[in-house]
Amino acid sequence: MSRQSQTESTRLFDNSVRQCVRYVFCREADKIPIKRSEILEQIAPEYRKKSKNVLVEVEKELKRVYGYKLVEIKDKDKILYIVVLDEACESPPSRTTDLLQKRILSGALTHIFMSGRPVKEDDMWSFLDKSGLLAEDNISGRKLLTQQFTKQLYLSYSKMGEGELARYTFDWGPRANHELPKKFILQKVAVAFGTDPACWSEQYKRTLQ
Amino acid sequence: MLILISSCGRSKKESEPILLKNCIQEINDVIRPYQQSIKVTYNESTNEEVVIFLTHAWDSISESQKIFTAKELDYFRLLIEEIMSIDVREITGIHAINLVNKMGQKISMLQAENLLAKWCKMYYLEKIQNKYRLGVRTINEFEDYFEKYMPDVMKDCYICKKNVFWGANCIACEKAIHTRCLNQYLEKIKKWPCCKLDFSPDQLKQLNESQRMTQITQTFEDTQSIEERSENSTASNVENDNTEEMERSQNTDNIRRLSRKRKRE
Repeated sequence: MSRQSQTESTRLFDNSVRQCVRYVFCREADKIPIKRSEILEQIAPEYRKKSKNVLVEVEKELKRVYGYKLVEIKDKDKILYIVVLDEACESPPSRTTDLLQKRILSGALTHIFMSGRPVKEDDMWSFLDKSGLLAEDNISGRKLLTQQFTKQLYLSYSKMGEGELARYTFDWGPRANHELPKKFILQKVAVAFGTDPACWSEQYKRTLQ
Repeated sequence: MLILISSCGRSKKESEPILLKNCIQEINDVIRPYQQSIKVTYNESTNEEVVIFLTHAWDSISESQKIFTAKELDYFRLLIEEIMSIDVREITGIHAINLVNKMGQKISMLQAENLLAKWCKMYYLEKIQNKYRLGVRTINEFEDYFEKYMPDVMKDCYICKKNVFWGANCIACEKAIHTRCLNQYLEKIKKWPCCKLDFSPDQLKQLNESQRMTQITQTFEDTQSIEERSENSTASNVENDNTEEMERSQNTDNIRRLSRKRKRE
């Protein structure tokens, strides 16, 4: 390969990496997973076959520049990506964060964790109602959990069982697993009850896993 | 990402605070290849220095964002163009919401209200006494957009030569000046920097009042044209050695001329 074509080749490669990084940055804000195919579209045709190499560099750049971690999630036969923070850091909440939604999510995730198993949806609605987070008659409000948080992969909303015994249940989604340390949840609960986290032995064991 | 300048970061040596400016420069060196930058700028509305994270690219990648739909972005464009096309650069809440009627595919008034609130939180718009102005983020992000699509409404500050979105117009020659630039100049010399007219705070007050009058009354122009004719005949007959009085009447004439000109436009 001549020097000129080598430089051109490097330029194309660097450009592809840059475009992918920019794309991920623009897409990550709504927390909906990004399809691998959508990222690959940003790569120059010459490098589509070497997309793995490109993506390795993309991950490195996202970490270096923004402190982002690109996490691969397998969804049946598709590959999706979500963006989470590489390291936890304290920062003031964004002015556009919906604090009520955040509280509902925290409540749901805590309830699932403390229960130790996927929570049936009726149980979830009852819990949210009793804790004052979401009124039981607020049917449209439930879409927050069944649609938004599920799409964002904070929760998984799935059918368990067959026929008449089939029920929908809520469990932690992959994003919650990556973003939220279980130890943190237990500590908060312990503080709320004025106890030591170790008092909750079952849950405490799970935080050590 | 809009943060106010407060304390600076610390270097690894605990006793060495890093200058914010150097910190921002280092960050900008890293994010420049991604067509982004952090800018320190002045928010004229709140009289504060602010730090803004900006994206400079407008292409298919930046359009891939899913926070706002195309319809919502169209509404935003309508809003900012409307605000920019009005002299006072602000519109009432009702005016803002009614703009949805100008859209082909409408959005509901409730949606419009929610969007306006969200854009205020994001500093794209500012709401003061139920009137909407451009927020500091829009002023910085859309500078190129306005220059390209609305060059006629863009005015450069007489003093610093940068775009004026909020400021004062000289009552005599209509040159635009940032309020901050004007105040800094007035600390040394009590004259309008552009035409050296003596400055008095009353002039700003009078100017604002006359603007309101032209917007309200239909018959204002008729009344003024009669007055101007009588004034001209009086002025030519009067021999007035009192400079102050002359200047005062000159100022009033200028204000009226300015209002008439704006009414005609």
